[in-house]
Amino acid sequence: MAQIYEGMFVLDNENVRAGWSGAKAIVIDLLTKHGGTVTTARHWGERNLAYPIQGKSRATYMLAYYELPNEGLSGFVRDLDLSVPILRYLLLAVDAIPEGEVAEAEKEVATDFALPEPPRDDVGEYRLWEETDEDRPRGPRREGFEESYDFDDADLAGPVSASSANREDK
Amino acid sequence: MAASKKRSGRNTRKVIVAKSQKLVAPADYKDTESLKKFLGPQGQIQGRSRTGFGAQDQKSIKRAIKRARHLALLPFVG
Repeated sequence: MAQIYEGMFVLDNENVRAGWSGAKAIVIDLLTKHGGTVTTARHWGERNLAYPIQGKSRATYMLAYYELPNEGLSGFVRDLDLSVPILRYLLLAVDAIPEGEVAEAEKEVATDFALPEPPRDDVGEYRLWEETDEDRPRGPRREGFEESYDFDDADLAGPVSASSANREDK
Repeated sequence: MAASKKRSGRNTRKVIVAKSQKLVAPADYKDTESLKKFLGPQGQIQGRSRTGFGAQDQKSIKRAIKRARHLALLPFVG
């Protein structure tokens, strides 16, 4: 008995930059090898990873919906584990393919499909929160604080504790 | 002198995200922008007392965040 699955695959960018169709074929070939039939498979974006995987800080995500017989699942998972270009994967059993997914996937089948440009955050690291002006500590800005502060000789001498001050008085 | 009412520190920190912003629990791991609202500053999953969701919704959030973490869409820490 076959079950519909949703699969999200994290692909190594080295393979993707060489050609999207070739990178996509890595997963599709594994599926067909184990008796699966791919309904949709599409590019889900290239992005910064939240943490490095195998030394890679960026990767491309591929979202696929496919049918796979129960006998083929364990073999497919084993091959995914052994595959070098597939950094991570998540397989979920679903009841049906979501609406609009087929239309999205068909855009890639068109001959004029080109791989989207890498996003603006191509350089840099993943950040959970984008720092805004509201995030800075409350109070006046401290830029140029060091320059405006005049050191006295007493400051450079270091802090004087109350006990040592009393000792000097005596 | 006016008598000051003593308040427990725990209650004063409580922020109910879902009720104040009328949020719907995202059950999909791909919806990372919505899931980020239920993470703390260090990436920890906020408790039910903070999110304001019921048990079922809180579980669906937890499951979705953990799936997103596995795919490196969301961080475990930081």
